[in-house]
Amino acid sequence: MKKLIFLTILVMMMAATPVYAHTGMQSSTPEEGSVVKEEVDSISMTFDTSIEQTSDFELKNSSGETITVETVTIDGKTMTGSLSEPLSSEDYQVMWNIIGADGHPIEGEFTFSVDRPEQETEPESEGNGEEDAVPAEEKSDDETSADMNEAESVEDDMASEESAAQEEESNAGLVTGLIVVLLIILAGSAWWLFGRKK
Amino acid sequence: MLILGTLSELLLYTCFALLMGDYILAIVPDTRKPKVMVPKSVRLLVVVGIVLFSFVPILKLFFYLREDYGAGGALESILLTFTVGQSWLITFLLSIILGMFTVVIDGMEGRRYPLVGIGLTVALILCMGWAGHAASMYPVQGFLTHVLHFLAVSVWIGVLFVVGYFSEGKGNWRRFLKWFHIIAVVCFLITLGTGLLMMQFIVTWESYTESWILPYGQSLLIKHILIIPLLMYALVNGTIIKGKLKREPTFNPKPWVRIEFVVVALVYSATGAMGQQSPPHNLESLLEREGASRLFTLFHGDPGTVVDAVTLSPNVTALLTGGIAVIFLALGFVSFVKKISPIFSFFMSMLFLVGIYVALMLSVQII
Repeated sequence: MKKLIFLTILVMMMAATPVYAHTGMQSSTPEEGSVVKEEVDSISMTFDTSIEQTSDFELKNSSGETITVETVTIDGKTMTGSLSEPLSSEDYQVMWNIIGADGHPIEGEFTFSVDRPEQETEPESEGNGEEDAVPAEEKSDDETSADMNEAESVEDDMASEESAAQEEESNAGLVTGLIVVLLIILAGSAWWLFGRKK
Repeated sequence: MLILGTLSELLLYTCFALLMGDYILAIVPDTRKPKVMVPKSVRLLVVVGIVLFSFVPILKLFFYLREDYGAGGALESILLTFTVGQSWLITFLLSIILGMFTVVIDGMEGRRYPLVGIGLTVALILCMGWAGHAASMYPVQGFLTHVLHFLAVSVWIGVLFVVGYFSEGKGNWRRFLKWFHIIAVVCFLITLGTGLLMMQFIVTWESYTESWILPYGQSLLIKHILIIPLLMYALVNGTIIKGKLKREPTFNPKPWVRIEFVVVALVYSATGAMGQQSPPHNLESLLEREGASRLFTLFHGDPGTVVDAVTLSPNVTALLTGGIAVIFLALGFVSFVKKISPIFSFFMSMLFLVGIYVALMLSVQII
């Protein structure tokens, strides 16, 4: 009975395998965050580690629909998926899920956009606008974060001092307590070691 | 999960050490070692242990893949196409050979049998290295470094473990130390060198302090701090004990060897824990995905996902704590000189660990 309980706990603990971000993606085609003007009929990713055969990825367009990937081939550190037809101008998200040769599952994602010039004729302006709109949005995002970074660094002194002060206040008691305890143990040990007669 | 994985790694490394130590001591002439006797049952258990504990990562993968591929499909992919699966299958086959060898060969007469045993153990270690993290990144360099690391540790700790726990009396102890001390020093240097090399695959020195934000870095830091008391016990057991044995014939060196192994077991555990955690190849994406280590946030709160650098700037409190820690280590050493129980010394070493750890954590500044 005890064994059974032990085994059950064991299996339950095992079943809750977390996904590791052990090693990451090194590069991809299309590149992460890029706007591609050419035809895209395959997507490939190269990782830090050799990957196993069950590795896979999912491709989604901006409206969240999954785009069928015909075949996924895995060769060493590279995973390539071929598409049945070239991607239309849109934003895409790739969610990859691999298992490294060291046996650790890893997952991650990246995005890219396609802006094909062949659609120039009529929806060119629209396409262009879209293209403009997207990076603009991204840019503004970047900018805001950059701004925030800058702001942070400008306020660095103040903010960090403040937060440090707060932190120290909240931790000071704990740390002091710890040091006192360590000192008491130290004194006790030293007394025990040197004070007693052999 | 973390605890289970860590424990199985600790036991796996211990099995390897026992195997290696047993066979190496079997080669050494009786006049140069204390009387050593590892029961056959233990020898067989170790072989079974290697099969079982090396299967734990496979089992974890199996549960992970079962949802998508079904039980049969998952097992098939893992065992037949995955490096870790193939490596385990070979481990399994080698272990069967080793097991039969252990059953058939009684006693360790002659030197040929232990040499076969060492050969099989080395083959098993090659197998482990092949499916390791280092080899998955750098197939040749990573593999060699990992295998060398594993081999050196197994030789050094193996002999230490067998002598500490499976010897009778303490005859020939000084003659034993004469050769073992040199081997231990060489093995330690190899372990240290290959260990630092493997660390460079994952954490460079520049990003060392940054890695502390993550659970992996915390385990790495604890492992590194533990090496200091380990070195102290190695020094005690390797050299200082010689004089003690000469002066006091009644002195029993074994409890001190055992304490050294307990510290090694902690180092093994920290290593095992690292295998369960994500190496900080990419700090920011890891922070986003998995968050900071809880031990780290205990000291510094949640650092968020944007961290430029982590520097060390010791303040008075940190220096005080560090100073106390060093005195604890000194007391741990003095307790050897004063012939006080090694367990007391072990507690001192643990307090040293806590003190140095806290001192470093207090010195950390996130920029």
